[in-house]
Amino acid sequence: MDKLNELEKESQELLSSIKSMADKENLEIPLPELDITENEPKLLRRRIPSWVAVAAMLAGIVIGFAMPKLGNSDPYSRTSFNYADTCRSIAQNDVNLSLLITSF
Amino acid sequence: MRLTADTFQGLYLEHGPRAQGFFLRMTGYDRELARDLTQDLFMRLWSARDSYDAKRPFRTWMFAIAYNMLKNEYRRRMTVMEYIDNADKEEPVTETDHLEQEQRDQMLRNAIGRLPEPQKVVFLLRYEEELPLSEIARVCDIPEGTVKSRLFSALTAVREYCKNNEI
Repeated sequence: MDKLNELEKESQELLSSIKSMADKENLEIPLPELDITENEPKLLRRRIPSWVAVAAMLAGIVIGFAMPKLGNSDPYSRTSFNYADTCRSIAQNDVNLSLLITSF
Repeated sequence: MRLTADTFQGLYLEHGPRAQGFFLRMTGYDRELARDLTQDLFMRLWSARDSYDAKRPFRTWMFAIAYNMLKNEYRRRMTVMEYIDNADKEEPVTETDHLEQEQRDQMLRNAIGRLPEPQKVVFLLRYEEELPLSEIARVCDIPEGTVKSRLFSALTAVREYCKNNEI
């Protein structure tokens, strides 16, 4: 029998006091809420590779330089019309903002 | 076997109080921190559920991650000595019928709180969580012989403290 076993046998009373104290303490504090869903962690794990982010940024810069007049330079263009229409919808509280942000 | 949300909730209810108690004692009875760590632990376990090996006990996996979190917490927030100092702070003992029991519990808390962190973790896992030596070795990533020698030193120190402060 090794020294540890011997010491444990000699300390039976002490160890059972420690165990019962721990069991009591474990139940003293209520467990925090745990909010888990099947899909959430999967979404969290789906990360965009850094090279995709860099490529997208570069593409944005190139497009921005190549087509500077794509915006609303012409007040009667279709883009401007849509923009004004959307603004009016927002003002009238007639649009789902989260949907709008997603569409942009 | 892949853990489903329902199975995991069951495991949380079964093992959550033990993990929380472990955090409580390892952090010198910081209740808020113990709760936060418990919640964080189970969110991590849930996120890493694909790596769970169902052939091994859930508690070994749980305590291994819990211990890693604690080590990070020690590094991030304060030194181990500060935790030990916290554990030494005597809680006021109220005048109740269980005064003697309360004093005895406080003495045990102090005795365990004084242990160095590597001894304390094996002590708690062995004598409070009743993990076999092989599982403790896996949780702490140390050889079984080291677990035994740490347990021997820890138990000797606790006995000595209790002997010197006997109520």
